[in-house]
Amino acid sequence: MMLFSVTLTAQQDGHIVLQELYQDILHPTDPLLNGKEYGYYFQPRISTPLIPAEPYPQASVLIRKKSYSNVMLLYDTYKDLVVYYNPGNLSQNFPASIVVNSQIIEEFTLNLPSGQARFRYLSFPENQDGLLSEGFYEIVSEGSCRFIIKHSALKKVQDGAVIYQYKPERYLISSGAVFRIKGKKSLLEALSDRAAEVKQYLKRAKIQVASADKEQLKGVLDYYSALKQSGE
Amino acid sequence: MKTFAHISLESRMQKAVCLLCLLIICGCPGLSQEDTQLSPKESLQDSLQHYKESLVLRTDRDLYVVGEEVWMKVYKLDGNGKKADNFSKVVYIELLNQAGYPVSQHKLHLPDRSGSMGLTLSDTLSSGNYLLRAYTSWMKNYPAEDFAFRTISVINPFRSMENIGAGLSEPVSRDGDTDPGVAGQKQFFVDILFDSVSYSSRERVKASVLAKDASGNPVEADLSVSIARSGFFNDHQEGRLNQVQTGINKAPGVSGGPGMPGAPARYLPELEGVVLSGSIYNSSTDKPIGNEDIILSIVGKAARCQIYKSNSKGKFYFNLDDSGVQEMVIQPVDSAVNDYYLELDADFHNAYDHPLPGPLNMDTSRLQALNQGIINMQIQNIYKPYRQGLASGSTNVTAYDFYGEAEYHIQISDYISLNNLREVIKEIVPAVSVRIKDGKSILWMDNGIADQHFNKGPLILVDGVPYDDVDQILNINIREMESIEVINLKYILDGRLFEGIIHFITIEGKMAGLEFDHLVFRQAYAALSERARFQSPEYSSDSLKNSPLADFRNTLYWNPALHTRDDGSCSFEFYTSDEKGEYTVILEGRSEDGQSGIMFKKLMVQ
Repeated sequence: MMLFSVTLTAQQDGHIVLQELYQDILHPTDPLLNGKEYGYYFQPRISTPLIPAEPYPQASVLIRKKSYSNVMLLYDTYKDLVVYYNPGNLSQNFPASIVVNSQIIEEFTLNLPSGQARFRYLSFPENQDGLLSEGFYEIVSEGSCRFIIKHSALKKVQDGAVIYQYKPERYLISSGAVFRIKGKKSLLEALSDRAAEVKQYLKRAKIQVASADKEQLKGVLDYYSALKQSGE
Repeated sequence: MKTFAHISLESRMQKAVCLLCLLIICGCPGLSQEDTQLSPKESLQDSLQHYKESLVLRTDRDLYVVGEEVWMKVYKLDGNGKKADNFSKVVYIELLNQAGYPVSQHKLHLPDRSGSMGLTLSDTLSSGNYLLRAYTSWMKNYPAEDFAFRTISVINPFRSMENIGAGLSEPVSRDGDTDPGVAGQKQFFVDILFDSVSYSSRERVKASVLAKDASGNPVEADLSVSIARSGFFNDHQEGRLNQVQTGINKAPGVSGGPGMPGAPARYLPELEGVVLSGSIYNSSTDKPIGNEDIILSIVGKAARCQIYKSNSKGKFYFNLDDSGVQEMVIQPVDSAVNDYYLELDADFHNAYDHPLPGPLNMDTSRLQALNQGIINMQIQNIYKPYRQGLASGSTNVTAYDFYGEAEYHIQISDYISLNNLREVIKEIVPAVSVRIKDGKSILWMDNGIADQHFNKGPLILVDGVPYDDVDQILNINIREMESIEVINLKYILDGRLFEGIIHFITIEGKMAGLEFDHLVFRQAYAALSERARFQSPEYSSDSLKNSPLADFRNTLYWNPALHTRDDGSCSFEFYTSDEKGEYTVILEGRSEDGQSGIMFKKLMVQ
């Protein structure tokens, strides 16, 4: 029995060793060094569409099933681009900021003031009432009711200067239908089959949906899921 | 010749072996002293054993007529041939004739633990027994006898059938069939229940499946079901589970197989798509050209380029996940490197160190069924054009440009008609201009960020292929040009910096007959095989039921993707054809924990 378990471990370790070997041989270059130069089209001192506003080596990205941690990634909320910032690139005569090819990114995680945010590129082939377009979305919760956030920015001219106003949009996808969550009314509409209970929960937990953070909304969805499960 | 990759692979393996030895020493004190004192070379062999994988190959039946499809399913298992595994993502499938010559070769993309494909039997095949063999790139490091095999018989009624023996001998030799999971392995039980005892023509058949283990507990299993004319199966199927495995049949994982001692691991596992490898040499000195950026591109409207810097032995590797036959071009990025030649490594295994199928002996009692099958095949093929879109389920995957969305996309038809491409660039294409240098045209590009010209020329692509003879490009008939895409930014591709990209896309996507003024490696290449999906006609309404299209399927139904749920059940349905008679139902598969199950049944259409 012991011998069998060792064999299994060896098999699994063999996978890992071979996986690393494969990556080293097939993809020897930095996978993040794949893309076009990122041009700063705004005045950072006035406003920035980037989140986080400053690059910190705390992001991670999953490319070809391999995770790269502690890299400096920024997300351009206006142009829907992932920017890899590495001043070390300059020593190779490469641009310091590169737009990473979105096709090779499976997932990336940023440390934002609101907490850790995990992003994935989503496309919506089916008719979603035109609410959602292809692009990167923060995945807050998955399951029967999916909670995603589109981090976007609005371009405005204020006092003669162009500014980018950060504007996150929250969506719930339930049974194929998309609901943009702006306040209590739209949330209850999205969770209409348990609207009364959810309303009570919001009152009890003193949650103002319009200003609630994602963890509070996630809590509401957890409550809703629990209700659904107990009712089945 | 020992390449860098080989050395690297060995070195990695030795590291892995050290880890494994450590695990064995620490985690299993009961092992013998001999096991803990392996020399490095023995340890390498030991590690190769541990990393082994195996396959099981199933087909929808045993006997076929040329022009028909062989529907098959491949299961990926661990090296012990027990548990389902999902390591390599490409499976090579070959059909070998009795002389061991491959008459059909395919590369099947298998992202999951099992997968299926259809292989059309060419009408150039002679009647006889053929051997299907399946293996992964990683399995090529082991003796070919550890591959998965299956013998099938093929009848070509349009050619001489003198080589078919007569008599009452077994119709098909099963010696070549392997299933590492069957012999001496735990089994689960599967049963299939139909909603009627017999059916009429073009009638819906509903079937429910139940899988249980020896204790009666439900089993989640990955199954395939085949329902075909009874004459197209061997007579001894029921004995299959307990059959003695003979000939080339050898369970993977057995140590000390032929060719193992001292054989270094030469082939990488393929964990994404097909790994295309080769070497670049100097044609004057025959020495490898190292540290050279090699670019692979595929001719087509989408730019799909990859760059690899050759290692010290001139070796390069590319990952290809395209399906179908593509025209690829491989060349050094620096077109000044002209004194070179390329050698690509063979993708299929070219050794046949295993027994081959014996002669086909046809049981005379099956002749009537066979004759009917031959007629059925011809009827099916006559009506095949009228069923297009139904018979083939191949999927078209949209190819994307490696650079994503261009900064400028100029659709030629959106603008007034101009005389030539030179005028188009001058009048319409932003950020690009044509200049003359040393009597040759060159393209200049504005830097979209720095508001000045780039110092170097951009990467110029024509239908996805790097091409730097600007004069030739400008001579392309404007009516052949579809669009132009411009990226006036620095672009890094696989670690190589380009100062902008301009992509000329022709209407046909075939480079408009451009010839290279320097040496390039250009040839058609079959990467992954296109996936066909078995589909049977549906007669759910009276109008469909009364369709004049004749339906004489020899394989009535084939479903390689049946999965029982946690309660051990699943169901499927299909429609019978116009052909009446007895059909054999074979349901077989594997459970998550490595048990195998198989069941035979008869289905009557009256």
